[in-house]
Amino acid sequence: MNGSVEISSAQIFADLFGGEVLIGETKRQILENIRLPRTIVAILVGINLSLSGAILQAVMKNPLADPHIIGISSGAGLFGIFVMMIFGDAGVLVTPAAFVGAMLAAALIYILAWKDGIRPIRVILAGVAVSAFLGAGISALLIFYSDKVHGALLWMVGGLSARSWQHVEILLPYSIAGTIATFLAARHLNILQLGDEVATGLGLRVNLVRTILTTIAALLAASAVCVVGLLGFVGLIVPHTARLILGSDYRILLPGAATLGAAVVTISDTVARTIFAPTELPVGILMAMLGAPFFLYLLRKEL
Amino acid sequence: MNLTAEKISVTLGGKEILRDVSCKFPSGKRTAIIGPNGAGKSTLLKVLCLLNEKFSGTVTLDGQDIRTFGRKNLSRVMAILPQERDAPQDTTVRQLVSFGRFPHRKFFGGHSAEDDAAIKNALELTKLTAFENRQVASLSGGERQRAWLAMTLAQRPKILLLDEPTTYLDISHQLEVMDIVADVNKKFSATIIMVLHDINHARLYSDDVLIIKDKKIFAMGEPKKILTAKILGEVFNVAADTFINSAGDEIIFPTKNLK
Repeated sequence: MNGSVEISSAQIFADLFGGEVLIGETKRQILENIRLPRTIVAILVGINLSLSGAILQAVMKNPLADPHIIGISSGAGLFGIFVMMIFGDAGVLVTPAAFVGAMLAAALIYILAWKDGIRPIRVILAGVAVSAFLGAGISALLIFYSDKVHGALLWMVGGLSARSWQHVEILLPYSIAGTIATFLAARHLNILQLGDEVATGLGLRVNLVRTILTTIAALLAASAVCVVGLLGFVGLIVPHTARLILGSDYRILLPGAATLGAAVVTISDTVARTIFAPTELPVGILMAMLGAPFFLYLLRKEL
Repeated sequence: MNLTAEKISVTLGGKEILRDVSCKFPSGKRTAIIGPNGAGKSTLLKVLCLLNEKFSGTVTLDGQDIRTFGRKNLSRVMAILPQERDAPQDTTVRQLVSFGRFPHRKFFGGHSAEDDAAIKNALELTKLTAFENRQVASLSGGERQRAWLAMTLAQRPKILLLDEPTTYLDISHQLEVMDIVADVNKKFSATIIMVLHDINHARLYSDDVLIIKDKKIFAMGEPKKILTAKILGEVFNVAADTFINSAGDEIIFPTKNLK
């Protein structure tokens, strides 16, 4: 457990299992109320964003689909911030509002990209436009009401700084419900990968399934955005890496992506937190530095 | 199962594709749909299996409107091999074929012995048993076509619809696919409806031929009566010669474009 306050692993284990109080009350507080919830938030956010990306890639038939790149996160962010300004930082309504924003962004992308079915390149271009448009809205809100939203810049790049048990409580129900729903849809995602006509011929109600799955993806992304801001590229890097290792069968890919997502965000956050200790780097900066080259690599390979 | 289409009209994006098409596909028969490009052949095929839902008129299966079946129930009796399809790079032949069992599975149901039997059978019919662990992407064009055909066979359809199943294949693979289709028709008395480009395939591999021209049915009936040099001239604007092959079948050979 590294960070601006040093607590060694040996001390932690001694404290947990030895029954001896070695680390002192302050350090114990840091562990229990700062680092543990932060790690849990990292795990949940990693799962949510990875599953959201894995779903969107099948549903939008696009290897580059990621809630951040195509603007679903921006939609969530715009609506989330708007509600935060009215009701304060951690209102119950923030996540539902963000979900509505994410769904509207998804609907907008479909409307813009739909012309005799979905074409991968149109999804990305529509997504870029939607993302830029909604991003401008977010920037405007943050500039006009900068006094009301704390750590606006940090929120724009996505970071886990000062995430607490309260944030775990916000995320947990969405993560659990979203993960169960996604795992139940694994076979449908497999069929969807075969193309709309084949999928329909196999008895899948393609448009209904696509709508339900987009809803699940939007919910997973929106809840993550509410807690950590616009953390990008997790939904892109993780499902792809999982696909390279485990293959394209969603029954195996989904649990793999969830596990890998949890690990990637947790490890990245630890690195971002400690690399310039005692100054913390938001994890979003690290993810973008890893993710942007990865995006370009996929662009050359897949489209 | 008897499939009947009554007064089918389709308009797509303001453009009329089919007008008042009525036809019957009797149980256990093979029907070839032929006609010039853009005549509406594929559209008719997609209407017959509800891949295209925006049509007027009715399609009935043993008297019941197919719109009332429900997507999944329909897929248990009817399979289609469309031209537009896709599969992830690492999909194996066995995985692809097992997707054909999707309409037979319950939401929480697992893999049944019946699924295994259907998959095994489909692999045997398409002579792909030895290839079951190969990736579909690594197969030759003919083998890949057979793999997709095997997926539709795993559905255990009573009616099998094929959209230009031999396009892009070399001559030997074309005949291979046509022979498998004939085999399926015989063994399971499955009704076959296929859009074909090759007149002689239609002649040798079907019981009925349906010619579509200018959004309407131009002619329908036995291949020998329908596929004559005269009708070919009227439908495709080509001059054609007729030969007798070594098996005694009449073969038509288009010789000149008359447009």
